[in-house]
Order: sequence, then structure tokens, then C-alpha cells
Amino acid sequence: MSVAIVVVSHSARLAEGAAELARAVSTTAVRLAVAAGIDDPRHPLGCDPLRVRAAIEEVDGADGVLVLMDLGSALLSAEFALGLLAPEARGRVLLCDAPFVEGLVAAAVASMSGAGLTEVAGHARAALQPKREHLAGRGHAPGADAHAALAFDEAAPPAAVVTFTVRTPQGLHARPAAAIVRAAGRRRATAVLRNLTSGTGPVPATSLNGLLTLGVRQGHQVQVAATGPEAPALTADLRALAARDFTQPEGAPRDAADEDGLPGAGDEDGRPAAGATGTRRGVTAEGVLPDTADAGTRRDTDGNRARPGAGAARARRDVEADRARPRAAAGAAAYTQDGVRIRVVADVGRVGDVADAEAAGADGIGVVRAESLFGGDPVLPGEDEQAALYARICSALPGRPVVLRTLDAGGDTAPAPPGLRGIRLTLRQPELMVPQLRAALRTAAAGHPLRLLLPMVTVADEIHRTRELLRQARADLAAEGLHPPGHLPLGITVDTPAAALKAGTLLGAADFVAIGTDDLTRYTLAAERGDADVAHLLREWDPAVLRLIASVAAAAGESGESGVPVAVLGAAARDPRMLPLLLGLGVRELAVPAVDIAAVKEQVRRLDTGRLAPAAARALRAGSAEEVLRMVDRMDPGLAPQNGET
Amino acid sequence: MGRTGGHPGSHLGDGVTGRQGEQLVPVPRLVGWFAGFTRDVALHADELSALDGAIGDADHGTNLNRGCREALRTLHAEPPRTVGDFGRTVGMQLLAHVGGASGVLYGSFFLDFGASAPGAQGLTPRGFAAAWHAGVAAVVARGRAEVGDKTMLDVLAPVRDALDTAAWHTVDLGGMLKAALDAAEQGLEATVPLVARKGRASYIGPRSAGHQDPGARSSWLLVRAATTTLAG
Repeated sequence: MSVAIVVVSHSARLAEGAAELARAVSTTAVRLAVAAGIDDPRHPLGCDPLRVRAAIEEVDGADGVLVLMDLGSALLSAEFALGLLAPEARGRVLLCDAPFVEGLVAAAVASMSGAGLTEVAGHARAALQPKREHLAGRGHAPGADAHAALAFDEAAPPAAVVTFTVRTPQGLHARPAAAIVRAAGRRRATAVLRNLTSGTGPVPATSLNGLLTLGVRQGHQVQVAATGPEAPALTADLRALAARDFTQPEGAPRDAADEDGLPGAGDEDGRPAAGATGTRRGVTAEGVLPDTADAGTRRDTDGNRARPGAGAARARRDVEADRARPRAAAGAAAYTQDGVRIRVVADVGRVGDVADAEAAGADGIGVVRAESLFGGDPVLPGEDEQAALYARICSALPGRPVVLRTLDAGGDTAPAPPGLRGIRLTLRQPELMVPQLRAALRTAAAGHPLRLLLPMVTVADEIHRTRELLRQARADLAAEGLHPPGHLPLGITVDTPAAALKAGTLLGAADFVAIGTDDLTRYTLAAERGDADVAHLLREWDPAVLRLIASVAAAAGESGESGVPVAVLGAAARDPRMLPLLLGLGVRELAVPAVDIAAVKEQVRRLDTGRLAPAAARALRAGSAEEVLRMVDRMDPGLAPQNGET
Repeated sequence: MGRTGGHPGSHLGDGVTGRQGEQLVPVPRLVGWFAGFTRDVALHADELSALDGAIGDADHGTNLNRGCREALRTLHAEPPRTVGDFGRTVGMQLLAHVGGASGVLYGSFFLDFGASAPGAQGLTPRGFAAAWHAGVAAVVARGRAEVGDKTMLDVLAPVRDALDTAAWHTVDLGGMLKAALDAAEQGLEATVPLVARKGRASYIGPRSAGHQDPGARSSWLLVRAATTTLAG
């Protein structure tokens, strides 16, 4: 027997190539297995811990198994695989931190020569040495790159060495590291640093990434070794830098934003904060901004107090701009490939959602769930409090329509059984709804484009009776001296098969329609999420639900003079597999949480309603929900991962 | 309420045994949670990959989307009967099909989430908090990251703490999940200025600042899916 080897890589080709090299240098057969890549022809890069386990088990023997891994998750996958092994096998397996290719070749040779597991691992770990020694002799330009600097360090004896202890609370994090890089760049010398406490390094003083890999924590000892004409000056600089905890020299100004760690708190002109001191910065300021940008400014203004914070302010603007970019795209109207406007509006259930909706570029607010705004209380607060809140919501999105759903007690917080809920309850107890109607009318009186949405309507009489309550409220307000608008658009949600099938009749009495897909699905399929035996039936893409949506869309198309646009509420509106179906069936408005607006608009933009309509019509006749899903995958090729070409 | 209002037998272990009147989240609801997560990951796949592209190898959304789809397919084909089955199915499918570090980490999360109550047919609110605890412990053990390293842990750990705290003074899962979502949002926002110290993003060090961590964002989606599918 001999030590077996397992090669773990993200890439099957890399692993096979490395294995090929290893086999070529070992004259007798080495027991070697490969676990690399994953089962996805379009994205084959990745690691599968189960494959790693299988590979280990394939070659496992009494002499043990050495595992060599490439990057990142290969390590995690191998560690996980180890955990899956039987305990006695686990003890024979060693995950080796050797360089991938060199280590593999060295391990193969050592295994062939009959070495034990520890010895083979030792050879693998040492395998980088020949390359280092070879390149060290070539006199690479110091500082040309990180590896060259390492080689330089190995080859030439240092001209100056200092050791210091890092006292900053966060250790040698990005900001101190940047200060070191900056200092190193000022001297004609090359230096490397080692973390003596943890035994890491050396790394070049000019490599920010390298310095961070030292893992220097508070209290660690760091050694600097420098060569070159100014080596002693550089080591002195770095010692001084460490002595003042990597802050800049006394008397230099600093800006307020750096100090309090709040983005946006800084002055564009880099005005120093009054009374600011620099010693605590390491505690709070880490990572507020890319430290390198900060560093650049400090170098520019070395000894010059003019604009020390300008670089930071600029970097902050860049960061803000970066974050604003997807929002800008979201803010633009969403048109399908064939030029159909799809309004993507916000579904608002919390006060904070309103600001988010504005920021996310909502085309309006598709539904305000008043009862959840007020903490889920089935009884809303008084009329004044409601009016104030509705006005605030409308003002947040000036000019954009806001749809306010009347009280749907119990409809949100728990899946309500069919019965006394929504409009049925509020008509039974008008005192629940009248303050809301009055608050809405007062908001509309102030010029806001508010609309009202009635939940759970199943008969037209419910719409007529609400109109009567509205008429009464309007008359009362007029008597009180207010001038509410003559017409407040009144819409209905379609939550039941009854409403869907009678959509034509109901739309004769209502001004607009939104389909509440969550309830419609539950009531159509007669199943609940919490019911273990039937929950699996709850699929919005069930052909029965789709047919009801189609029925609503058809009725809406024939309503009024030019048809009424159909909106969709609920989980279906943000389900990427439902969107092609909904658009194909004629839905033109989607109400989704603010955070989903950008992604929904993106998907809308790659769809083509002209192509979706016939496909959606076929889906109505599908034999099962599963069949519909298979059709959807063909309707939107973009649904398949990473096919973003539109 | 039928089965959802009942309480399981006493053999189910700590944190699982429903006391009188306590809500019980049955296993099919957990499947619904994962279905909601899968839907949200599909919707946000490009965005997750783009976030990853800013600081890593631009595959987080693609990888997770593929893994979740496979896991959900299996959950539907072989519906789990117990919390343990649920966690094992999801965990193993994610391990096998995600391909990146997130597969190992989410896989570990769900395996240990399920293992916290292997024989149970549902979780009480406290049981859910305990299961989350176990899942986060697995992520910590596997990834060796800490809060502040700009990883999914920056969301998962604050959520664990919020669930723990909430479980002390309420048995209402809706309330607990609301607290959890708040914690998740704060944790997610907090990753923006951080410099990555773990995972692929750590290779670019300081340049990782200024971006949300994609793993933290997908974890936030997981929490959000819980709030919309588990309570009520």
C-alpha cells in the first residue's frame, strides 16, 4: 500500500490536468482520485462535498489519504466531506495546506517512494521552495509584485530590522495597513513584514492585501525587515507610525466623517471637525470608506492642510453613486420588449416601506395595508391620525397614485377562513370603515391622487353600499366645510373564484381591479399553508388559478371604454415564474415590496407580451401545475441562471 | 385549527414540545418557507451575482438559485415528514448542487437546523429559535467567520440573538419573526462599509467596502421568506 491522494478543485479540467502532471512524474501508479466541478454543463465550476467524500472513499486505504485543494470553497467542501466520513476513516485523512500543483506532484512522488502520510504531507508543503529559490536568483525588480518582493526578502539579508507591538483595538486592519503601504512607498527601500505572534508572513510592506493576510490582532508583535538605500529610514518611519497607533502625525487635520463613522456626516470641503481627536478612530471608523481613497488624499496633501477630507468625501460619493445605480434603473418606467408599459408599484405594510418605495423607484403605491401600518390592530386609530398618515404617504411619492385598501381585519395577519372578513365585516360594522373613508376623502381633498380598494368583494351590492357610505361621508365633510372631490376611484380585489368568474359584473360597478393571488389560490384550491396534507396543492400557477386570472383580465379588457388595467397583489407578483404567465394573461400592474421592485422591473424588461400571450393561453389548458412550470421555463429563457442576454 | 393548534407528544425533546396553546409550525410550512426563499432567490439571482461580482466571483445568485431549485424539487418529490427530514433534504441538496462556499454553509445550516429536532413534525416558536441557533452554530463552525467579517453570519447571528431575546417574552412566532427581520435588516446594512475578512471577498480586502455582502443579502432573503410564510 501507499498513501493515496485526492485532488479537490472547482474545475474538472484543472484537477485532471494537475492529476495528469502528477501521474507523469510518478513512475508507478499512485492511487489518486479527483473530486472537481459540479453537475451543471453551463456552470461547471464548483465543489461538491459529496463528491469529495466519494473520492476519498474510493482510494481510502490503511496508509491514509492526502487531500489537496485549490481555492476557497474547495477547503470548506473538503472539511465538510471529512465530517461525513466514518470516524475511523476520518483519522486516516489529512487535508494538506500545500500549493496545489507543486504539492500534488511532490506528494505523488513521495507516496510512490513509500513515505508515510505525515512525510508525504511534509514534502507537499515544502514543494514551493524550489520555485522560490529559483526565482530569487533572478534579481526581480523589488516591489514589482508581491511575489517578487517575497523572493527579494528570501534572497538578500535585510539591512534594517525593527519589531513593534500593535496596540490598535482592531489590530492591523485596513486603515493602519494603508498607512504602512503609504509610508513604504515614500522611501527607496523594500520591506517585508512578519507577524511574529502568529507566525504569518512575510508579506511586502507595499501590499495592502498581503498586510491584511498577516492577521495582526491587538497585542501581536510585528517584525519589519528592510533592504535598500533608505532601509533604516523606512524601518524608523514604520516604528514611529506604530508608536502613534498608525494615525497621521500630530497637528494634521482630519475630517468629521472619519471620526464619527457615519457616511454623509463629512463636510465636502474637508473642514476639520471642531475638537476632534484621532486616537479612537480605529474603533469606529473602520470600513466607513475605502481606506485607500483616504490614503491617496493624505499623500497628496502631505503637510498641506488644504483639503484633507476631500478624498474621503469623493470616495463616499462614489460609494453612494454605486448604490444609487440600480435604483436609477428601477426608477425608470418598465416596458416590455414589445413596448408595453408594466407599472410596478409598492406593496406597503409598514411605515418605513413608503420611504423605501420612493427610493426603489415605485411607479406608485399599489396597496397600503392600513391595518398592518397601525401594528396589525383590527381597529384602526381615529380619523385624524389616519388622515395625517395617508397624507404623509401620498406626499412621499408626489403625483404618483396611491391605492388604499379598506380595513381587511384578519385578512393579513393570519390566513383567514372564508367568512366575515374584508368588505363583509366593514359593511356589517360601518363604524370600522367610516373614519377610514372620511380620512381618505380628506386626503383626496388636499389634491392627492388617492384611490380606494375594497377587499373580499363577491357581489356588486357590496360596491354599491360602499359608494353610499362614501356619498354620505362626502356630504358630512361638505357640511363641515371641506370640499372633497366628487369622485374617489373605487376598486375591488379579486380574492375568490366567485369574484373572478363574475369580474364583468363587478367591474360594471367598480373602477379598477387588483387580484389578490394569495387568497385566490387558497380559496380556489381549498388548501392552507399550515395543513400538512394539502399544503403542496397551493400553487399560484395551478391551471385553475390561471384560468380565473384570465377570466378577470378578459372582463377588465371589455370594461369601460378602453378597458381597465389589471393589477396583481401577493406573492405571485414577485414570483419570477409567475411573471411571464401574468403578463401573458394581460396583467399590467404588479404590487410588490419595495426591495423587489428593481428585480421585477428587470425581468419585465426582458419579456415580450406578444410572445407570452399564446404561451399563457396554452398554460391555461395544461394538465397540471408541474406542466405549467415546464412551460414557464420555455417562456422566459432569462429564468435559467445567468442567461441575461436580452 | 386542527393539527396546527395541537401539540406533539412528549418524545420530541427540548424546544419542540408544544405547551398548551402554543403555535406549532408543521413541516409543510417549513417547506413553504423554503419555497418562498427559492422564489426570492430566483427573482434576485442576477442582483446577488452582481453584488458578488463587485467583491467576489459573481456566482452567488446563480449557484444558490440552482441549489435551491434542486432542493425544492426534492422536497416536492419526497415530502419530508419530520423537521430532521426537512433539514437533511435541503442541506444535502444544497451541498451537492450549489457548488460554492455558500452551498457548504447553507447546507450546514439546514442540516443542523433539522438535527435540532430530528423526530418532530413541527416547531414551536421556541423550537424555531433553537433550530436557528443550531444552524448558525454550524455555519460558525464550518466557516470560522465572526460577526463583522462581512459574511452571511452578519445577518444570521443577529437574527439568532433577536429570536432568542424574543423567545423570552413571547410565544408568538409572528412577533418573533418581526424582530428577526429587523435584526436582519440592520445586520445587512451593516455589512456595506465592512472590509471582508473571509470568503472570496477577502481576496480583494479593502475594495470590498461599500458593497452589501451577497451572502448576507441572501440570508436576509431567507429571513424575509420566514416572515411571509411561517407566521399566521
